[in-house]
Amino acid sequence: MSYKLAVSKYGYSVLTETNPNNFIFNSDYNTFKIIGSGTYSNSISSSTYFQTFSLSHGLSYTPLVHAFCKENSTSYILLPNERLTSPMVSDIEVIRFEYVEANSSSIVFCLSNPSYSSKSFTIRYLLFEVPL
Amino acid sequence: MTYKLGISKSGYNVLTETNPNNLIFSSDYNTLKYYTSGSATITFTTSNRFGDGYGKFTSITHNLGYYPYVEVYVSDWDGVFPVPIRRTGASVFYQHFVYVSTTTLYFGIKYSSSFSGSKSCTYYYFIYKNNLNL
Repeated sequence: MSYKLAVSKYGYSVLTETNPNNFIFNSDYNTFKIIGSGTYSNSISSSTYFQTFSLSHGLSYTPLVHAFCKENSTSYILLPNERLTSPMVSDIEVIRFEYVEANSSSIVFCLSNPSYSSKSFTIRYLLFEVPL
Repeated sequence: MTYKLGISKSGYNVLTETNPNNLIFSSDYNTLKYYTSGSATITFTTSNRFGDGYGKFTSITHNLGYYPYVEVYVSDWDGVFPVPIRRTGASVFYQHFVYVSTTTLYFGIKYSSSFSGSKSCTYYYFIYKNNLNL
């Protein structure tokens, strides 16, 4: 006999519902687990393009990674492949968060600073399971 | 004594399994938790100047008081893509962008090529309760 644990959304019967979108949780379906998280802070010199920053993730495999970047003097968060302009609708770039990637040993952040002053930044990274 | 809730995948013993990939759920690991989601359509013409090009953005107030984990996808004339994204062609360049503050999610398009008529794109946003602590 197999057992399951399920919690349906309000208005749906947990005993009869079959649409996974109508469940808060259903043990028939994997949850996308966050296996690690942390922050990384550094600075990037003016007029510097595609500089990479690495830190070890300490896992025995290559995880899925996602990250968010904050240039420390601003109040906006950037996702990878984003360019922050100031003000938002202008063409004056403050910083670029080019990409984040992971390999078997490290997380690699790539940033560019097209401005005329050094920029300090903090990145929140999250490591996810690899459900393959 | 510490308690935990775990559900293993078929064929794995929940009492001894330590690989998170072999668990359906484990209270040892955090998950993304929805706060709100929705969609917004932006329509723009060459009368909508945006930097050295054209475009528009819109904002969604979340008022969480911190920087939340967010995801945005866009459906435009070329397909469906995660945002941010920059797309280029022989004579076209445009970018869908997203920023988030402690109160607001901003997203939109900057279109840096000439065109006629109007263009529309629909953004699908997901804001999670997860605090980025930045």
